[in-house]
Amino acid sequence: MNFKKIMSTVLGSTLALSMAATAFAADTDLEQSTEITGTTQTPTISISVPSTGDVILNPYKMSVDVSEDQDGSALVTNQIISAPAYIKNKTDVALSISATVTGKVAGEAVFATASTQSGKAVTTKSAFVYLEVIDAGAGDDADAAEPTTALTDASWKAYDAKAANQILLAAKAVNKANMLTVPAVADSSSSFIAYRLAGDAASSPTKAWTSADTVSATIAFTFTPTVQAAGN
Amino acid sequence: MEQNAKPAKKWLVPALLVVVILLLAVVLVVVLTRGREPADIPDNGTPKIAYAEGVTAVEDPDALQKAVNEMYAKAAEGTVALEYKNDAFSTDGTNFSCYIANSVDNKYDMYLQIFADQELTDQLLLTGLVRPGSAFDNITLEHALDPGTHRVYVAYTQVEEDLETIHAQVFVTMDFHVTE
Repeated sequence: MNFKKIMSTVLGSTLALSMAATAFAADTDLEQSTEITGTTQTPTISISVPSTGDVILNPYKMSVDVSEDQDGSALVTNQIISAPAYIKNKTDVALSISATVTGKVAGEAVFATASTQSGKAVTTKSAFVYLEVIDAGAGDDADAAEPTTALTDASWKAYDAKAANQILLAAKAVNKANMLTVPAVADSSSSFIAYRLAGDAASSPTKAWTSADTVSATIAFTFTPTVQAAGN
Repeated sequence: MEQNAKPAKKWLVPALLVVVILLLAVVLVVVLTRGREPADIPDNGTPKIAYAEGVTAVEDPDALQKAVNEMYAKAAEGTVALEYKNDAFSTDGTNFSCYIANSVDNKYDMYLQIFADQELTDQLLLTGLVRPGSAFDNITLEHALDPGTHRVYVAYTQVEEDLETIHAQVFVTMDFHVTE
């Protein structure tokens, strides 16, 4: 009986010591905790934006050659003529593109809210002008000045009030969000976003058009980093 | 008979000279006074013919083609390279941490103007010139923005070597966030 008591005491003490040791070890672990510091990396937008742009009113539908070689292969009679402008993108995340367009008129020109070529003849010097933004695709490399695949007339669409990528110009600032999303660009590559002004103008206003009657616009683009949906 | 004919010839020559001189004088007067005064056409309902005012030289028939060619040439000219982070942050509405660079791809110095409104009337900042390859990582606005998110309009203006001539200007927007 005494032997059993002695053994029990010894074993109990051993257990208590071992627990104490464990507890002591646990205290040591707490003091060696590791602090993890969080940071968020936000993307840098890297783009090149054209600094100038012109728009020409051609209300009397005169024929003009817009071919690069001036060989008569691209004669147009558009009433609103603007050269496609290219924004070069080298950003490594997808970008959502929005725009604010502020139209301005001079002389007796006014902005129309509907096409001047449909329905009743328009008697004022009205110009129906819209901005269209499209994804023009990749360039050959990071130094490319234009997309690999040249744009054609088919690249551009007629005005559609429901189209996300078009804005109708007015004599005030007009915003449109998320007109287009372009994919991320890999290193040593580039892609292009193209835009232009198009539309029509009153063909036979009561007072004839003069060179003083003009329209112009200021465009401020918004490039917002985004995650492109899978499959796009 | 011969004695009567001689005096008659003597009178005739001076008379002819006088007539010729008179004719020359009349012609001279007509030529000199011609064009000084409009023809006095009686106003009996017929429009008077006169030269129109405010006309200019005949325009070049190829003016449209030239304008289009110039437009395409300008469109092919250089662009302004932009490098920036879309979002800037502040806790007091005035001092913002940001990243707005004059890209190394640019050739010209530039300055920034930031406006609170799309009409570009409420200026928040006008910086000094920044060389290509340099960037702002913090800015102090001229007046504070309220707490919240503000879409601001940033004008990048490139200046030529004379530091007076504007070479190019482009606009983009940024989002400025103010937290309390």
